[in-house]
Amino acid sequence: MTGRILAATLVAALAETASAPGGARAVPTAVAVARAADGVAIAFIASAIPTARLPQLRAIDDPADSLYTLAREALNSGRFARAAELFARLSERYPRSEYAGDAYYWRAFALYRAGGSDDLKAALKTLEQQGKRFPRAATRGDARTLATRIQGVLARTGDARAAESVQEEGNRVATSCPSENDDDDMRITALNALLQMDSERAVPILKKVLERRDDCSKGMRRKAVFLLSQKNTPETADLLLDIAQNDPDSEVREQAVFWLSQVRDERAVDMLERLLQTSRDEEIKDKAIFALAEHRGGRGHPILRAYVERESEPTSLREKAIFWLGQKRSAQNAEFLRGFFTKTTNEELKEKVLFSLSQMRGAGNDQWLLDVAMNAKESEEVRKKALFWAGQGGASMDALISLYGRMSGREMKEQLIFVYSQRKEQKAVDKLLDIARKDPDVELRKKAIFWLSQSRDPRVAQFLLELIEQ
Amino acid sequence: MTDQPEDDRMDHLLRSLSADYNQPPNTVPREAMWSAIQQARAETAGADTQKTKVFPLRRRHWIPVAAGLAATLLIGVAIGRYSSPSDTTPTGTASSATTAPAVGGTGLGAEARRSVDVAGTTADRPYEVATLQHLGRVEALLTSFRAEPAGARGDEQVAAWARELLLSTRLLLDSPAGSDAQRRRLLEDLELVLVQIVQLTPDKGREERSLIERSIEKDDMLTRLRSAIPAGAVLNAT
Repeated sequence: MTGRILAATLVAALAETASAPGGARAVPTAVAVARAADGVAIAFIASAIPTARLPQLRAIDDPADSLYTLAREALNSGRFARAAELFARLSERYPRSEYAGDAYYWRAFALYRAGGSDDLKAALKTLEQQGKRFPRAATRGDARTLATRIQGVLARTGDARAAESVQEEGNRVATSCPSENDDDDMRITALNALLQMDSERAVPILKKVLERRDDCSKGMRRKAVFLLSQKNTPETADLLLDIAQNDPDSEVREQAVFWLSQVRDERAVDMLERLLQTSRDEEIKDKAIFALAEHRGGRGHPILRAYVERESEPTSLREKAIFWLGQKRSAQNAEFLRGFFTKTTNEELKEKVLFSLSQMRGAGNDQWLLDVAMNAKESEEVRKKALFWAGQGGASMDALISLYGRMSGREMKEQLIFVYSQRKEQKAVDKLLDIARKDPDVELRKKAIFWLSQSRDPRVAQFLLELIEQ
Repeated sequence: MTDQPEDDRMDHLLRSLSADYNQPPNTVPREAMWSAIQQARAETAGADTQKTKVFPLRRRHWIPVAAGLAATLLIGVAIGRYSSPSDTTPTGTASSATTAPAVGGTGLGAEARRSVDVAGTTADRPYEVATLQHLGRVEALLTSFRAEPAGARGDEQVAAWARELLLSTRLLLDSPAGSDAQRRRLLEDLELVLVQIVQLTPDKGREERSLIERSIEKDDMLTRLRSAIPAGAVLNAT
């Protein structure tokens, strides 16, 4: 019964809307609602209302609606000056609109994105006005974060007042905890602004944050590590080394290990090696592998090579070590990986080696991949992957073509056809055409035709036509 | 000139093939079709009803999980899932290191060759890794935002998730990750979308949502994000 009453009310409202300008489409909805009300739950009715109707319902309630939509669309189109102008107009014309408070925020955001010095100052002023006139606006919390960010940008361009404000804010957030109505956004934004403005002054404050061990600063510490990573000094190295070992929060420690890749200090390598050997935390080891791979000293890669050979370690981590070893062209890494490939029986690791060597190219890796593909002692899966990565890497088309006649087994030939199809050279199309015309195995001819049909080469169209006419 | 007869033959061939293509049978079984349609609609309606009951509950579970993942932002976690070539690396390709090729899978080769603009020096790579992960998470957020029906709980959760990502976007913008012009543009556009999602509250109505959705569509945001992320890279992160 209640459902019917609610539905009837809604029908009346929709019918009323239908008589309003632009509301003609409400009638079918009202009819649908009337039908739905006959014994159907009201929840269904709500979902039956087309989305497009709601703005028109709102427009009746709020005359600023269309102006607000226009302004937001200007913002989304990147016409920031226009958006700022429209939001300002909305606040002036419709100060009692439900949009009026938030319009200040959006105007400030548009001005901030416009980016000129005057725009930024106007944005700050707009946010101040919002604080005075609409202290309870929904956007108020974010307005403070935005103001801090704008202060930071102004400070970087030499605005002394903004710089002072950034410094004060930075000092304030370093030792306090967020209140119930606060969050970390503003505090991190303040620290970031300070760092971008004056890293000399920021590092001691970041240090204070990172020395904290209280739970309420956990979120801030996580981000502070990222900020600290941008300043490469002996002091930041000390800090990262300390955090990587001693912070009570595992995420903070993981971040510190990750960013140790930036630290040009052999102590970092010592610590990363120790972590790989002793830590039981796979996440930490994961980050240590990356950091060692990226470390600029010469010791990281030998440590990773030794790690790859440790069978007691998880395959997933050893795979990652192989992956990162392959990301730097190195004769030693290539030699190691090829040797490791012949020793290991772990197919996942073998596949990762194939990929890594294909990434390195050169130094005989392409030929080595082709040799693996032809090696009947390897599993078919491994051989297929070797072929694929050889094709994706630097193996010459001539070398790949010469394999076809020597390759035994339909599966491997199919893989080779696929590899040809992924190459852009004319020779690849020629070979596929040759297979499609002459291969005694009909299935292989079909495969070649399938891949040829994906090609835009004009010779392929001619060939297909010939085929149809046969 | 010589192509003309071939074109004619092809036209003729296509015409004769198209004449038979999808030709309806002589007698149309309208009654049988109609009952099949009715049955299908009834099943769909049933599924929809069930969806409205079950889906929000499922969403409530996964959104905080996803938000939790987002909270680990700026940590290099997707290591080993993709390559990030640089001057010191030999290839211009980026691919999922764990992606296996499958014969017959169209486009796999192209997928594996999707290139990533990676900043040139090894020193930048950690920022690149952090950025790619971040972009992956923003992609996840935007995808779920568009898929999530408007509603009190869902919008609040998405807004909280967006808040975390907005902060990280801004930190990345100010870091070495923001020095690449193309990447910077993408991050700035994301900032604009995220700042709007952050403000999304149930009382703001569906128009607010559709404004954001239009913004995502207009800027091809998801396409741009996906093309910036190597195949299978970031979302497979731990």
